[in-house]
Amino acid sequence: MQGRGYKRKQFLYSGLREPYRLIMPTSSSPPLVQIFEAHKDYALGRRTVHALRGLTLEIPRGGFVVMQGPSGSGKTTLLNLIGCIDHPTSGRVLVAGQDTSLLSDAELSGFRARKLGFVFQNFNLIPVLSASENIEYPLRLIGVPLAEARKRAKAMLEEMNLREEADQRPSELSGGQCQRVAIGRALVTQPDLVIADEPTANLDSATGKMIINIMHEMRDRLGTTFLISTHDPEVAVLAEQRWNLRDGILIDP
Amino acid sequence: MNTWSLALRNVWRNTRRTSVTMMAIALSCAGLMLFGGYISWAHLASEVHTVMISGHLQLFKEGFLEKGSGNPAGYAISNYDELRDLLLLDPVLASKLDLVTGQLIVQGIVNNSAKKTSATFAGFGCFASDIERIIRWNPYDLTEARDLAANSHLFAAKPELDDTDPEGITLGEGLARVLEVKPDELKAKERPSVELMSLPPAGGLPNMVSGTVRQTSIRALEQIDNHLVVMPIKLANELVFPGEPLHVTSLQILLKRTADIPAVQQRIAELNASHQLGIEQRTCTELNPNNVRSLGMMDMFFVFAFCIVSVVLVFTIYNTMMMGIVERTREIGAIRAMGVTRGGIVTMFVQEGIVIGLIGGTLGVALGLFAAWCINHAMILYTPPYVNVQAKLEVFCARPPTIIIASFLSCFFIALIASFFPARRASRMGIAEALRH
Repeated sequence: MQGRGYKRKQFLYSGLREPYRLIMPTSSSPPLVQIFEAHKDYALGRRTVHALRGLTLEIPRGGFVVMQGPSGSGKTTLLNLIGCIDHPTSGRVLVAGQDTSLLSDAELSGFRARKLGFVFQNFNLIPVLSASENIEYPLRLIGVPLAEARKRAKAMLEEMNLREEADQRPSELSGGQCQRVAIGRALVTQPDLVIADEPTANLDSATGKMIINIMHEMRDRLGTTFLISTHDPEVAVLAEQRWNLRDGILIDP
Repeated sequence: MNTWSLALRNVWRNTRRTSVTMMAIALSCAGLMLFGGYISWAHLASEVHTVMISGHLQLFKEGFLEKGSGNPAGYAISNYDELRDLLLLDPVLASKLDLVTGQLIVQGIVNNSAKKTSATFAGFGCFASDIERIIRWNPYDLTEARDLAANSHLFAAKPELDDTDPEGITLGEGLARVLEVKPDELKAKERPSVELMSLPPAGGLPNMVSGTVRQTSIRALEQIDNHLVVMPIKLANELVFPGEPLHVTSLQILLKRTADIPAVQQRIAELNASHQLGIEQRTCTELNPNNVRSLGMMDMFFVFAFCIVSVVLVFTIYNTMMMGIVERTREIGAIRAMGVTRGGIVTMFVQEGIVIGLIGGTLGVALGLFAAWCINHAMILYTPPYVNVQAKLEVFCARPPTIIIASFLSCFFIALIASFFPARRASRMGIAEALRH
């Protein structure tokens, strides 16, 4: 929220070593995300695929970070580690000061519900729920009473300029409207970090730009940290900080 | 929006698939109800049938059941009135007894001198009004075979015996044929007369009495009908014990409730010991073991049918749930990412299974009751085992109501179990893999 002491920051890159090491030295508060020497390997038949190769990075609070890279570069894998929906093969991932490897599955679920928001390429809205109910859903997960959840969902719909669409189901909404509902759903619990995996990939360029602008604006107004992966260079232009990922390592943007 | 509301909406995502699954549950539930209702009817009908044949309990002189078949009169009870009063006046038994009556089994030769025909017979003498009460015993209001039009040719309109007709006897259908007693003769003013001969229990020359044939009778068992003679007990006593007080080979006891049999048995055993009565007792089921066996077989059929229905239903519901889970894999990944726990996923899908089970089960109960009503009003006739009369097919789904409850709960729990395993599988999906689906 705006009252969290959010302060816009300029982020600097500290070097171009292999593997790329990203440090945000100007942040006065501890980093929101810290990754130390993270490796992620997958077994593909008899072959082992190294999706991430010893990644170390930090994300300060309030950042608007865009991650780019070709398919297979490890973007989604990195987002999964930061989003606590996957574990590194080795290395450590700290989100909001919490070492995620120390949490049980149930604890991780609670952690994600309170600290993280997700925006997906395919929106992944619950099709049987209305726009308003989709936004209520994460609030109910963290135990917000129904009346309060409805009130906050309604407020979020207004923020997203979706007041008229409150009772419509995802199938009755356009792609841009669906993604705005998804952003509202990700933000309604006031998470520390919103992770958006290719949020504009299924939208036309104008709608995509609008979605990124909304995210940007929300970052400015609510102080939520955004981490976005994209192929779209127009989206990357709006980023305060860009990372380029290739073959599981960060390279010079 | 709560989790139940979400489950209700989710089950209707694929209307056709959900409808088919619910219909499978409903038909299974209705099928179990109908089969269970039929078994319930069969149990009641069997109970009524065995009581009609034997009363609830019969008391015999000790040794009769082991050796009395060759010489039943040799094991006759000579103090019938005394024994009957002892039972009827006993403070423990009085409230439980409906009727105590005597029966004298007789064997011998029956001769139709007019037609020069004769045959061996096995029959009994009884009190006309008492035997009528026993064969009319029907506390469950079952449709009686004698009331069906299809059986009208088998049952005479008048009772087999009449207290005001001391020489009037009834012959089994088969025996009447052998003796050439024709139906039109029975309608004539002067009834055909037959002579009954029987050896006295102590041996010697046979005794003989005459009887007039009132009518022929069906006794459900063909081998009995070929030898049966039913006569007034005084005539039977005159045949076997001429000039002696009334003897009986058994006392038939009719109870107010079948459930009282064990208590009455116990009390009679106490009286037997304390008064040194020298009697042994048998229940109606012990005297008619075939009925119990056929019921046991039907119960086993039901168990098999239940198992088959359960397995088919489990696979149907499991398949439906698994298809739903495959279709919703990415959604499962998304809501897991949003913070739903594994337990939450299990709960979500089990709730959907519960909703499907509840709706399907409720439909099944309604369908079963309607089908039972149709069957009970359709006058479907068939011949049950061990009897040669037609019976009306009836299903008693609500007698007792536990059949409805058990059928409903069975389908409900099958739905619950069948949805649990897919739900658990859904909960164990990796989030990242589910999102990539």
